Amino acid sequence: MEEAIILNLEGEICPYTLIYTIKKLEEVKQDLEKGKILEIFYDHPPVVENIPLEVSKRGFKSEVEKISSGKWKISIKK
Amino acid sequence: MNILWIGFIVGFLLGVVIERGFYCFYLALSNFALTRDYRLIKATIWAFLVTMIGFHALHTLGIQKLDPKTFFLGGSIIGAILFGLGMSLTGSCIVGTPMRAWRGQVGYMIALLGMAVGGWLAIFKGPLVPIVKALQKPTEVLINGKVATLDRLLGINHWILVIIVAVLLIWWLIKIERKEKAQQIPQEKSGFFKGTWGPVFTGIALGIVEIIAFASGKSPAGLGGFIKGYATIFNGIFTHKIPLNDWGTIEVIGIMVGAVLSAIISGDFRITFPPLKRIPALFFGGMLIGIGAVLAVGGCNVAHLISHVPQFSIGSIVSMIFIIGTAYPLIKWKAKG
Repeated sequence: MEEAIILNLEGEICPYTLIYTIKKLEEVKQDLEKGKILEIFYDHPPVVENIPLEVSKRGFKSEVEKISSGKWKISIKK
Repeated sequence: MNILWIGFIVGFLLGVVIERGFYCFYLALSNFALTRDYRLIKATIWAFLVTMIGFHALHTLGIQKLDPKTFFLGGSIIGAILFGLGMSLTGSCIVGTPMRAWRGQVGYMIALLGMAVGGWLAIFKGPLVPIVKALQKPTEVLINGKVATLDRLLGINHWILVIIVAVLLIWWLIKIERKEKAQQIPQEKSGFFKGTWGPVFTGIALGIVEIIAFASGKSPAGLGGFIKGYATIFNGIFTHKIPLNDWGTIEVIGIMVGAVLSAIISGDFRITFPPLKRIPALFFGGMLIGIGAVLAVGGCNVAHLISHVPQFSIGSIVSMIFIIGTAYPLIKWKAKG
């Protein structure tokens, strides 16, 4: 089972939700290549829409899951 | 109790539209700056197009006269810079702030309080009031004794400018469409109370709300007066009165009711708290938005960009240049940091 790297961006304000997501992705790129999963938690819907595109531009796959009212998880892997 | 019902209805509709569309101009700028995502820019262009054509048509049909904001060389510029700084601190715009607050984000309720306090300091009480006044009327720039508009400056009929601007904007929308097709932007499935509205629907809906506001004849020419509304409510702490027959006041109450109801029905409502370290920026950013908007001829990004630039107000055009010119480079700087 792949080990998950967790990033919690709930309550973060614009544009840091996007900036920190991109920064984390760059930071753990090697780990994702080795099979790890990056899980990011948000309460910011627009990020849920444009992160999958950013992720695929960088050659990774993503899955969006609505956990509860106003809360999402994006799982990113190779 | 005298209630300006049309103001409440307009505010309510605006609250629903911004909540369902997750509309925020600061987000439009930052999405574009960071990921070349045009969606909220598209929504803004659509809102602008609908508003521009609607306002000028209503004027020509004799239903409601255009009433573009004037140009205060001091206020329009300094106010816009302060507004841009405020947006950069809160990470939201004049409607993005209540939109997030009424989805349950406590940090943005703090930002709204900041906006109310800032507006109160600029309008009602304290040393800022005379400074604001000094930067306004005494620095006014008119054209032949009338409000400075682009059509007046160029000496052309306003409809010629409407056509030129409409053609340019439609050309821009086509360019964006092509870029998005190349990027293969996923089209999210959403319903009226499900997911987030698409940008075209959001933009057109925003434009329609603008036209209702304008046609009512009771508003400061379209949507606007938000800061005055928040400041007046804050002032109610001292006067023990909240005038519900005041456009700005009833409009922001309507926004709150519309946005909260919409968020609850869509399952978007959730109380969340900001990281503690963000609270000063949210409050002081809100204050700068409040002070900046009052200084800039009582104009925020919605009043300027979607209510008054479509009327070709030079003051609003200048203010928008400085708002974007302040906020956009700061987004790029934040991304580097």
